[in-house]
Amino acid sequence: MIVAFVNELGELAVFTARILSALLRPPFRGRLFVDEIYKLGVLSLVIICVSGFAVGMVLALQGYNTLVRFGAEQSLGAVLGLSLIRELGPVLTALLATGRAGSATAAEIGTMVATEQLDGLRMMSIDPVDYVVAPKAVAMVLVMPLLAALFISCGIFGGYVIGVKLMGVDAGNFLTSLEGAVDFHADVLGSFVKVIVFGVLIGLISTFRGFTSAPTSAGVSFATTSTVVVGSVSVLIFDYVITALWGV
Amino acid sequence: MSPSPVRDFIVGIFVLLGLAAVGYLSFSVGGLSYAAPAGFTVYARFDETGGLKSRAPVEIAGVKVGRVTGIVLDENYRARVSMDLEPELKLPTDTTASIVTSGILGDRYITLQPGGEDQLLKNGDEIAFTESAIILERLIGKLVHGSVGDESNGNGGGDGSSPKPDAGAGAAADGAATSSGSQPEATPAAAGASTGTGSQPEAGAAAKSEGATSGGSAGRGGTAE
Repeated sequence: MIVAFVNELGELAVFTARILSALLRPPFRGRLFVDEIYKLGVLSLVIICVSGFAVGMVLALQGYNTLVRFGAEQSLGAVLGLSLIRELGPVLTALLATGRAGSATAAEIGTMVATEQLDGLRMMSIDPVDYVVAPKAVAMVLVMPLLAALFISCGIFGGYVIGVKLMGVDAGNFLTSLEGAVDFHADVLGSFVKVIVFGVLIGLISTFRGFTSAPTSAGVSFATTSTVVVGSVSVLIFDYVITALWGV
Repeated sequence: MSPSPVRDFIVGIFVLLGLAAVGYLSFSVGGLSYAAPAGFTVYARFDETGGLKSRAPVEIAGVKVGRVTGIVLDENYRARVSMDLEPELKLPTDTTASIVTSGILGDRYITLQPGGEDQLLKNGDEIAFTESAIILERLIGKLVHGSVGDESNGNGGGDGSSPKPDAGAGAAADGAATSSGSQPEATPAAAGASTGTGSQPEAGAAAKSEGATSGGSAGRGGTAE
């Protein structure tokens, strides 16, 4: 089992190297890249915004009910902003993107394998890594920070609606404590580093699982499931490692 | 997949939206500013910064006029704080810099009290008169151990052992400090510019205000006990 794991890790490394070399060599697939941003980014927009809004709302409610015991409900903005930016924004965006975009990517590539479309590309001497895989992986990395920023902004808005409009925290206090507590270099930058690492993880895992899936319907199903499972778990593990090592 | 201008447009909108969110988080929430340092840097040395952080605001009369750019330890184990202020600000050389707290447990920031001198601080000058942060725990500790008022300065973690920039006013302020349990190096504080010259009334004002501060803190400490 360990041998199989190391074997797979090695395959993943070679796969990553192939993607990188495909990116450096012309032709550059700008058209495909834009299409992938549409599929991975625009189509994830609704789930990201709705989830962000809901998470911000519930966070404000829970935070308010806890803070009001200490008479510190004026710090609601700080609690909301820091937890969203440092932790919840990147991780929840990554988990949602794994479920929404990662699984779709794995299923798409897996179906291409099963229906021999990738072999068709090879027949025309087009490298499938260059034509199919690389645009998807890179689009994932670039789309993730945008999605996370939208998630966090929606979350702050949701928290503002609940905290200020419903629970009656003063709007000025809310925004002052939010802007006072969040630091660009300590918090926002770390958040983007996290989310880019997650984007690389999800992009690699989903394309790798699809690309190496068995050419059967069971294979495609396994590739999709395993993308979600392995992707989510590795996001959570890397989240802990990044937080522990660099404190962001 | 055939090229579709509508889809390209939607992708463009999405990217713009995302970048706008990134910008909002970076500039508005995160407080990132690409404004170059305003060019008017002054320094001040404190015995105790009490958790003052880089990027904390510097205020005069509650109006933000700059921010803290760095805090380092100098060779005498005091904190040397550099501040970046608005260049059009005209500060007399006897300006006082104090570290204060917003609320009882809030963030630390620096407030400047302009003095009455004719000469102005120049870029790179050091503010001579400083007032360190008041550590609430130490005040409570002094209250509990009964050292407030009956012990001369130098008590409680070396608060008052620093050299004073101004001997005459310093002596006057020592009385204020020992009676109130606060730092004695805060000399021409409080009403400086408006009430005018002479160290006695100023020291009196300082003693009054510090007494009020420590009285408030002591009351707080009493309830906490």
